[in-house]
Amino acid sequence: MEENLLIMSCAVFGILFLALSAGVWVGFSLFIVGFVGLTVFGTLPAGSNMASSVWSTIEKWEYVALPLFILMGEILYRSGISEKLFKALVPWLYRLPGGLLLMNIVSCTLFAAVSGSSAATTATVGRITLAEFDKLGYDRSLSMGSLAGAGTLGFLIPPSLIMIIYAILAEVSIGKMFMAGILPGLLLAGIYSAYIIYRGIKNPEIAPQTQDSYSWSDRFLGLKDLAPTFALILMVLGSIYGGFATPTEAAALGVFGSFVFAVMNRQMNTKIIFECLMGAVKTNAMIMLIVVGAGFLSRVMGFLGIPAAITQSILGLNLSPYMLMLLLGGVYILLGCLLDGFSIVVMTLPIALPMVVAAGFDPIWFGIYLILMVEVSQITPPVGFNLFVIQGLTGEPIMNIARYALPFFFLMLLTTAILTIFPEIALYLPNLMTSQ
Amino acid sequence: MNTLVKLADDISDLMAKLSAIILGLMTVLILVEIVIWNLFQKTTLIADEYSAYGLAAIIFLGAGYCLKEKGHIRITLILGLLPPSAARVITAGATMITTIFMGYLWWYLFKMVKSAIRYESTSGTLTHTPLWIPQAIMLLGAGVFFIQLVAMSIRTCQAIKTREEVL
Repeated sequence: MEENLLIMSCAVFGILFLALSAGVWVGFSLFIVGFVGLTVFGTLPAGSNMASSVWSTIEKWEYVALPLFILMGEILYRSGISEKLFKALVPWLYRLPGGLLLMNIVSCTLFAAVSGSSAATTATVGRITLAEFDKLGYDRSLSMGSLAGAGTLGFLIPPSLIMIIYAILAEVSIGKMFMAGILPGLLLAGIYSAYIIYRGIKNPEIAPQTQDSYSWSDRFLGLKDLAPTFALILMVLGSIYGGFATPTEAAALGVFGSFVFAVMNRQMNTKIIFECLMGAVKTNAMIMLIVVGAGFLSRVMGFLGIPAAITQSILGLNLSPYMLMLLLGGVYILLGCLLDGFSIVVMTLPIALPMVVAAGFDPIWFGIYLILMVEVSQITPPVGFNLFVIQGLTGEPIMNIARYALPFFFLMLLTTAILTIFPEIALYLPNLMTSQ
Repeated sequence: MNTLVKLADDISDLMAKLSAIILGLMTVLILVEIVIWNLFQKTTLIADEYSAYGLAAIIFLGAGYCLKEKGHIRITLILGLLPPSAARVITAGATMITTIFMGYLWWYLFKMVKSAIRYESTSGTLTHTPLWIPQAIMLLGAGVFFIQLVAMSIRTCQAIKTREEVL
């Protein structure tokens, strides 16, 4: 790397680190670093560039899917969907080793297919399961740990807020990105379930059996409570996969569907819908401030040639593709301890993506890899949003919850390794879409 | 001072309510487009474009409310390790720098809107919407966000004396 580029890169990352540590909001930290970079090292006027970057970043139809999916999550959180899921699944799961602990995995998997966020998935499922598990005398570490792990499926199984942002920034199709998440999501859910069943066989005490018993007719009659969830999944993912709707339209359909569901469940009135809208406005502002700041910083880094220079020097090391992914994985795990998923994706993408594509990886596959890294960041202390959600539900200290989630952290890394060796797991469904 | 802080909070709340209504309208607009396209092969012509303007509007109109509700993400880990008095001073400094920066950004957004009016820039779509209209709504939101940041600066500076919790 040329010497002045090295100085520039160090200065940019140094200021970023300083601003973030001083508690400047992430979005503004990115803005300020971009501003300093352009003023000190660049030749273009910073102010007007910043203004035009803000407008061109936010005025995008694709981003409209973001507040809509957030709104859908807000409605579903209050709709009684998790009670229905719980009721329908109990007769199917209660006799298995590990018992209802599997409920965390199965409910999160199903709910993730209608929710775009890990925190929303964790909160919606956890508000029902954690209290029930306490009543049944289940092992607390496994009940919280499995929820922390399974809740992260919210980002991997479509629809997914992070996937929308990734797809727009990496210029790949949102629909294909969604499809790419399905099989890896099911794989991760399968690995989690296998682990819980294994723990259940080894020590049945973790989930003491109850006296209740259910017949096959109970099981099948209960399925009607799953119907609304499957209808929503079909409406949102089916319409995208079938090519009937853009992701933004599918999101609007999802809002409508969850609204109807909440009305049928008598969980909706003017006050509640307003609460949902206000919640969505707040979360949307939070995410988009980071996206807008990152949009400007990435433009500035492009002007200065930083991503290209870093790509060149990393490729110059002649790492094997697996070594590169291992190295990146280490960096992401470290970042994940300190930052939230959205910040990680938008901050690293301008540098990581060109590097990874140059090393021969598919950008859609890398999206899935990155989302798995974001999932890891959700459960690594001290900053992990799933840990915060579970702390909010139980009052347990963060470090304890992180310890309970540790086995699931390793299972995520295992899944990432499998996915790196067999990229087809992610790419099979999106490729099928192309050939349609 | 406290009147100003209270006023900023009220304005932020009001703008967030406005954003909530805009988000609701965006949803309805897209649903209407889906229905009339699939049933009558007609289009509103504006659904894509105007819902994107809606998004641009609610990001900044909602940002002040999000700030007030402590929704924006920041790293408090390192501040938490410092003595509380030092953390308060740094927080006040960081908030003021952010505020000044937002003021600077607002000024350039204002200039952008002004030149959109002067050059009569339009959207380049079928509607030929003058760009200054959606941009001016964004500018209003950015202004409210700035006012909320000023209020936050006042609050964090006062906290240095009153030893209030700011993180």
